[in-house]
Amino acid sequence: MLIINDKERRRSVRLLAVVTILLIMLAFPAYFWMKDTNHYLAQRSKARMSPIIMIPGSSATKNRFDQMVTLLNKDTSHKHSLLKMEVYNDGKITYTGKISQGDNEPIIVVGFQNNHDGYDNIKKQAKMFDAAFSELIDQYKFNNFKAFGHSNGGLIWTLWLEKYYSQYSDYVKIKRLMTVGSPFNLNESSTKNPTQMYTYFLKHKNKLPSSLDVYSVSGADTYTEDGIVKLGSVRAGRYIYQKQVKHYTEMTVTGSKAQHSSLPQNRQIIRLIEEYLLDSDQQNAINPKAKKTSHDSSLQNQ
Amino acid sequence: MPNRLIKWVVRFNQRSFIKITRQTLMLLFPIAYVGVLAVMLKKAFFATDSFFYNIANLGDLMPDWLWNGVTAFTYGLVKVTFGMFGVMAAYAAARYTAKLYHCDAPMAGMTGFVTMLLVAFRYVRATNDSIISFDWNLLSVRSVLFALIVGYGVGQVYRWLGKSGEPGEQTIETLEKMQQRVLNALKPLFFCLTIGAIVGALFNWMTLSTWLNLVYTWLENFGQGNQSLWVAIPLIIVSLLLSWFGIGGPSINTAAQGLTGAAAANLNYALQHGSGWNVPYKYLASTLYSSFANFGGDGVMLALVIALIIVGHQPEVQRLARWNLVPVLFNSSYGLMIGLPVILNPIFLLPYLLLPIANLLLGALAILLHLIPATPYPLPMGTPGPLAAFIGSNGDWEILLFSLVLLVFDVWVYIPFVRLALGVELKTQREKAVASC
Repeated sequence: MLIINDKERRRSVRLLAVVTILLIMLAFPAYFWMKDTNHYLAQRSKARMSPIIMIPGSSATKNRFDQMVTLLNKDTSHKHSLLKMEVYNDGKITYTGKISQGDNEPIIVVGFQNNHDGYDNIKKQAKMFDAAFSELIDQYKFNNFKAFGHSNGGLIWTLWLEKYYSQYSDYVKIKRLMTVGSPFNLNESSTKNPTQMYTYFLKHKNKLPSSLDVYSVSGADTYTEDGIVKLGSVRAGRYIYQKQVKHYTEMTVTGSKAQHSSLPQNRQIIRLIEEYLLDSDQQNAINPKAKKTSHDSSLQNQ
Repeated sequence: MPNRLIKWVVRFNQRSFIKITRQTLMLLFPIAYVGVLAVMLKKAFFATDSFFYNIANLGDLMPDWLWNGVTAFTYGLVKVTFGMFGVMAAYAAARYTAKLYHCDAPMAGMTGFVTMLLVAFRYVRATNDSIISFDWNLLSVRSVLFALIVGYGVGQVYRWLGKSGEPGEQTIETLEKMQQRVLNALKPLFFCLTIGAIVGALFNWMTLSTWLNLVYTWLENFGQGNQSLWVAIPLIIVSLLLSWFGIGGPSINTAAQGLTGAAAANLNYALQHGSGWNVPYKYLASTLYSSFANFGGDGVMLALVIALIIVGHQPEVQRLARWNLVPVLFNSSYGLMIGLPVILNPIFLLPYLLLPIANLLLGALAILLHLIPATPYPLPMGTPGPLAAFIGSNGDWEILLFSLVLLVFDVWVYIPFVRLALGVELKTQREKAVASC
C-alpha cells in the first residue's frame, strides 16, 4: 500500500520551485503597485484642498454661479478661485478658469451639455457628473469637499450620492451639502404622489453617508412655491435625508429675490453659504472629528 | 512517549464519530477543492480590493462584461460548494454511519439530507411560492461540525430503529426485497424528521444560529480589532479552536482591514511621515495577524504544505500538497482543512493554534527591538503570505527577510507534527486492514 515514491516528491519540489519563481515575479509588479498606491495615498492624505463643487439646475450652464461667486468673494479677503467644467454628451470634458495656487477652498462648477429637465436627463447628468468628479479627484487629489446644488443640481447630487459615491467614500469625504430650491418630488407638491425619481431616492437612502450635514434651502415667493418649484416638493427631501445623514436642516428664504431663478444671487442665501457651507476657522475648531481624521484641517487653522 | 501518543491518537481516530468525520471530509474534498479555487479567484484575483486585480490593473484591462461574468460565476461556485457543504456533509455522514453498522446506507444518506434541510428551514411567511428560505449559515461549510453531528445522529437512528439489512452487494436486489427495505426505512425516517423539525423549530424560535454566528463574528472581529495583544490573543485562540472543530469557516478576514480607529490612525501617521516606524499603535493585533500570522490563511497553512512536501512519503500526500500549494499561496486554505484533514485532527491542534500566535509575538518582538517597522499600509485581499508584511510596510527589505525566516521557522515546527500525523495514518490503516480481515 505504501510505496516510497520519489517521483511524486520530485514533482512536488518542482512545483514548489515554479511557484517560488512565480512569487518572485509577482513581487516586482506588486512592489511598483504598492509604491504607486502609497504615494498617491500620501499625496491625498497631505492634500489641504477642500473645494466646493457646484451643480447648476436645468437649462443653466457652467456660468450660472459667476455672479454668486463674485458676491461671495466680495465679503472676504480670502478669494475663492473658480474652475468651470463642462461635460459633453460624448464624454469630452472641458475646463475654463483655474484654481489658483495656494487656494485651499476653490469653487468648481460642473455644467452639462445636456442640461434638460426630467428624470431621464437627471440620471444621465449624474453619470456625467461622476465622470467629471473622478477626473477631478485624480487631478487635484483632495480628500474632502463640500457640495452645492441649485434646483435640479440638488437632485443630481442626491442621485450621485446614492448611486456613485460609495466607490469614493473610503478616501474622499463629502462634508456638507446645500441644496437650494431642489424639487425632490419634481412637480408633485404632496408625497402622496411620489414620482419615479422620488421613489428611487427613498429606496436607496441608506446609501447616503451618515456623517454628512445637509441644508435644504427653499425660496418662497408665495406661501406655496417659489414661482417655479413647489415648497411641498422641496420639503419632500426630509423623508430622504432626515434620520439618514448626521444633520438635516430646512430653511426657507422669503422677501426680495426669493423667486426660484434669483435664489443663487439672493443675499440671504449668500450669507447661508458663508455661514454653513464654507469652512470657517471656527467650524474646524469645534469639529474634533475633522481634526482627528485629517491632519490638514488643523494645519489650516494655524 | 511518541508511541503512546500515536496509540492514543489511533484510538481517538477509531471512535465512530471521528471515523465518520474523516471519511466524510475525505469524500467531500473534491467539492471543497472547487470551492477553494472559486474563493481564490474571487477574493485574490477578481475582487476590486484584491491583490491580483490591483497589480495587474484589471480594472482597466478587463472588459466590464467579462469581469461581471467571472465575478458572478465564482460567486455561484462558492455558493453551491461551500454554501451547501453542510447538506452534502450530512448526507455522507449519515450514509457512512449506517454503513458502519450495516444498515440501509442509501436511505440513511437521503434521510440525513432531508433532516439537515429541515433543521435549517426558516419558517418565514413566504411571499413567493417558488422561493424557500434556509438558514444558510447552518448549511454552509462554516457549520460543518453541526452537519456532521446531524448526519451521525441520523445514522445512529437507523442503527437503533431500522432493521439491519444492507442492500446486498453481490446479489442483485429483487424489487420485492427493495420494497421491504424501503418500508423498513419509514420508521427511522419519521423519527429523524420529527427530531429535525423540533430542532429546526427551536432554531427558528431562538434564532440560535444567528446568535452563534454573531458570537463567532464578534470573536473574529474582536480578535482582529483594535485592542492590545493581551486581549486579542486569547480571542484569536478561541476563534482558531472553533475553526479546528469545524465551526466558522474559511473566512477569517485575511487582509483589507477595515480602516477604522487605530489602524486608520496608523495609516494616517505613516502617510504623513513616509514610513511605518513610530506609528502610534505599533502592536495592533489585527495588523500583526495579517502581516505575520497569516501565511496561507489561518494556521499558517503554507508552512504545512511545504512540510508535507518535505516529509510526505505517500504519493497521495504529495498530490494533495501539490493541488493545494497555489490556493494556499493566495490564502485560500480550506483545502487542507478538509483534505488532510486538519479539522478534528488532534495532532495538528497544537501547531494550528499556537503557530499563528508564535508568529504574531515574534513579529511584535522584532518591532519592539526595532529590527523591523510596523506594517500600517493597506494590504490587498489575498496577498501571498510571504509578501504581506513587505507590502504592509511599503517595501521594507528587512521585513521581507524576516517574513522568510519566519516561514522557515514555521515549516520547521510543522515537520515533526506532519511526521507524527503520517505515522498515525499508517498505523490506523494497518489496524483497519486487520479489522476488516
